[in-house]
Amino acid sequence: MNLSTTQLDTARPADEGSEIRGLLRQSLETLLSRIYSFEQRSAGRASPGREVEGAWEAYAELGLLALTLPEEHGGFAAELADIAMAAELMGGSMTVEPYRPTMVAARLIAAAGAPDQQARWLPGVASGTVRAALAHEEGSGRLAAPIAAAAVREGEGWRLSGRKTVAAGGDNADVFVISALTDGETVLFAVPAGAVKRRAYRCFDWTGAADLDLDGLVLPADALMPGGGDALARALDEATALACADAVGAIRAANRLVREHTGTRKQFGRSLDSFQVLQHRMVDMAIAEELAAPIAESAIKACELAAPADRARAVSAAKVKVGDSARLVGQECVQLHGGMGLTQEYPASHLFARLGLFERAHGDRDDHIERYAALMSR
Amino acid sequence: MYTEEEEAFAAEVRAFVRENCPETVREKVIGAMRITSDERRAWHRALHARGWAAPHWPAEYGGTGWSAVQTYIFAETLSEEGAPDLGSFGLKMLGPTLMRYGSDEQKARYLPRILSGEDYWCQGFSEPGAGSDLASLKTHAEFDGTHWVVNGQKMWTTMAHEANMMFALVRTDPSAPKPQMGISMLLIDLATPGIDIRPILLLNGERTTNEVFFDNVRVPAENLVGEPHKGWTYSRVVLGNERLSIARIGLNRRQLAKLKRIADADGLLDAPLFRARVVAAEIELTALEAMAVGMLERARAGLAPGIEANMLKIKGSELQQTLAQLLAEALGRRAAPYGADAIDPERPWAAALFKSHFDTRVVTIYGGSNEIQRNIIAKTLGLGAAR
Ligand SMILES: Cc1cc2nc3c(=O)[nH]c(=O)nc-3n(C[C@H](O)[C@H](O)[C@H](O)COP(=O)(O)OP(=O)(O)OC[C@H]3O[C@@H](n4cnc5c(N)ncnc54)[C@H](O)[C@@H]3O)c2cc1C
Repeated sequence: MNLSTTQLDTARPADEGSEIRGLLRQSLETLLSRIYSFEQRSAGRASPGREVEGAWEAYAELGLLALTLPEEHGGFAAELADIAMAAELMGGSMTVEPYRPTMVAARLIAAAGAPDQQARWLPGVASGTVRAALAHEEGSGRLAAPIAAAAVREGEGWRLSGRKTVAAGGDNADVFVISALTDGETVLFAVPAGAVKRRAYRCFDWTGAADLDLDGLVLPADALMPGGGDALARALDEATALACADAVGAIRAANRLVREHTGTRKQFGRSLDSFQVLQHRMVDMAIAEELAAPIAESAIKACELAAPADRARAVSAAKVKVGDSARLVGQECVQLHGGMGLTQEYPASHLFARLGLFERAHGDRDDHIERYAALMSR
Repeated sequence: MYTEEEEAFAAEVRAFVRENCPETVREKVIGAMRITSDERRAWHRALHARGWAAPHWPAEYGGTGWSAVQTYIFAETLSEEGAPDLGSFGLKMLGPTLMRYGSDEQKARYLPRILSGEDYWCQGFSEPGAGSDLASLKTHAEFDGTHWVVNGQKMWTTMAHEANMMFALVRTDPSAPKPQMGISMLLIDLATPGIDIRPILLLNGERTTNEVFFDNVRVPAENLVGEPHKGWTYSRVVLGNERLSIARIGLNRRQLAKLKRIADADGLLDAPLFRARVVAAEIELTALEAMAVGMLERARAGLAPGIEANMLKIKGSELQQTLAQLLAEALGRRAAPYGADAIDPERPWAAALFKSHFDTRVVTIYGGSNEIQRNIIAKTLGLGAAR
C-alpha cells in the first residue's frame, strides 16, 4: 500500500510563491512515492535509527530544510505555507523524521538568535547535517501551565535547573532551543545537544522525542538568545499550526484508506461501503476533512500575517477543529476496518496513533478552548 | 442498590483477592500491562482451590450455585480490584455450551479441565473472509470414517499461542441450502499435526492474537459437539453466553477511579471543562449500572435477557473507550512516549495509557461489532418489518 501518492485537490489562492510551492509539492510527492511506501516506512521505523534511510538527506536535497531560513545561512526565501505544504504531505505518509520540530526550532533561532548562533546552527540545518528541537513543554504540556525551568546567573554564564518533557525530535537533535525563567521573564538558550542530559525514546506513533534533565546544566553567556518570550510564543503557534497541517494530511490518508477498504471488502455478499450506516459514517469523515483543511490553512496564514492575539485565536480555533476531525477520523478509521484496523502490518492503526497523538500535542482541546475564550470578543 | 448481605459478600470477595493475588500482579492489571501466563495460572489455581473458578456454572459441574446478582457482584469486584481475567473462552463460552450440547464423555473430560485451568481454550470462529459475516466461513472438514479432516485458515485467534485446545466452526456440508446449515463445531487439540499458528502483531507490538492454518488436520469423530451441521445454533449460544459481563461495569468503575486519581494529582479535576467530562462519564456509568441491575432483577425472576443485553454491550463498550480516552487526555503530552526506553521511573504506568486507549478500540469491534449489535436490535424492534 502506498499512502504517499496523494492527489490533493485543495484549490489554493494564486499567490507569489504558489508556483514554487506547486513544484516543490510535486517533487515531494514524487520523493515520498519513491521512498516512503507504507512498507518502506515499516522497514525504516523498525531499523536501529528508527527512520527511513536517506529520507533526511533527500529532504535536504529538495531544499525543504532551507525553507524560510535566512539566505546568508544557506536558507531559501519562502513562506510558512511552504513548510505547511510539506508537513501535510509528510502527515499523509506518516513520516517519522523530525521535520516539523527541526523547522520550528531553526526558525526560532533565525528569529531570536544572535548572529553567531545563527551562523553556527542554521547552515547545518539547511544542508541537512544538523537537527534542531525546541524543548519548552514540561509535565503534561498544558498550555496555561507556567514553566518551571529556571536560569540563574553563574559567573559570566548561566546555571539551569528543571525538566523538559517529550521534546519532539529531541531524541536525535544536535541543538536544543531551551526555554527557562529568569527574574520572571522567559529566556531562550541555544544549547548543543551534547551538553544536555536526555532520555531518548520513541512515541506510540513511532516519532522520536526526549525528556531533558536540566539540573546542573551550566552554559556560557553566549548561549543566551537575544529574543525571548514573544519569539517563543510565535514559534509555539507555528508549531501548532504546522501540526494541524500534518494532521490534515493524515486525515486525508485515513479517509482514502477507509474508502478503499470498504469498497473492496465484502461481507454478507456486499461491499461494506454499500451499507447505508457506513456510508453516513464515511460522509461525516469526509465533512471532517473538508472542515479541517481550510481552518488549518487559515492558522498558517495568521502565523505569517496577524497580530499576536489574532494569531493565537486563529491557531486555537484550528487546533480545536482539526483536533475534532482528527479524533473522529482516527477512531472511525480503526472501527470501519474491523480487526484489520488494529494490526501493525496495516496503515489504519498507525493513522489512528498519529491523529491521536496530534490531539495530545501542543495543548489539548480544553487548553485551546480556554485560550480562545480569553481572547474572544463579545 | 445492594442488600446488606450482598455488600458483605462483596467485602469477602475483596478480602480474598487482596490475600491471594499478589499486589504486583494487580498493579500490572490496573496499569494495563501484560501479565505472564504463569501469573494468570497461579490466580486460576487460587480461585479453583476456593471453588470460585467458575461461579456462574451450575453446582453439579463445580460452580457455586450463586444467584445472578452474587455472580455479578463477584465478577465486578474482581475486576475492580485488578484481579487477572481468567479468559472467557473455556469458562464462559465453551463450558456452558458443552453443558447444554456436549456428549457425556465431552462433559466428563473437558469441564473439569476447564475448571482447573489444565486446558486453556481459544476460539476459532473468524476467518480472513468471515468476520461480521461469520456464516460465510470457509474452513472445512470432511469425514473419513473415523476422523474429521480439517483444512483452511482461522484468523484473529486470540491466545492460540498459549492455548492447548480450540473450539472451531468448520464447514461440513457445503451443499446445505443455507450457509448457516452446513457448519459444525469441533474441539481441536492444538498439538495435532498440520496446525500452524502464526502471530498477528497489533500496533502496540504485543502478540495477543494469531492466524491459524490447518493442513489435513485429523480430529477424532468424538470431538464434534452435538450433531453434525448444527454448529451454527451452538455458536449462537457461545456468543450469547457473556451477556451480562461484557459491559464490564466493574472495569469501568476501576478506570473511573484511576482517572480521578491521575487527574486530581495534576489539578485537572478542578479544571471546569475536564471536570465536566469526568462527571458525564460517571453519570453514564451510574445509568449503565442501574440498567444492569434491572436486567439482573429480571434474571432473578427467571426471565432471559433480551435486547437490553445488546444495548448494554454497546453502551458499556463505548464508555470503556470514553474512559480510556479521558485517561490519555489526563496525561496530556506525557501520553505519547512508548516502549522500554520511554518508561519514566517516576510514572512507570504512564507509558501504557495511550496503549490502553488504543487497545480499547477493539471492544466495539469484537464480540459482534457495535454496528452488528445495532442491526440485531433494529431487527428485534421490528424496524422495516411492516413493509
Ligand atoms: C484483537 C482481536 C481479537 C479477536 N479475537 C478473536 C478470537 O479469539 N476468535 C475469533 O473467532 N475472532 C476474534 N476476533 C475477530 C472479531 O470477532 C472480528 O474482528 C469481528 O467479528 C469483525 O470482523 P472483521 O474484523 O472481519 O470486520 P468486518 O466484518 O470486515 O467489519 C468491518 C466494519 O464493517 C462493519 N460492518 C460489517 N457488516 C456490517 C453491516 N451489515 N452493517 C453495518 N456495518 C457492518 C463492522 O461493524 C466493522 O465496523 C478478534 C478480533 C480482534 C481485533
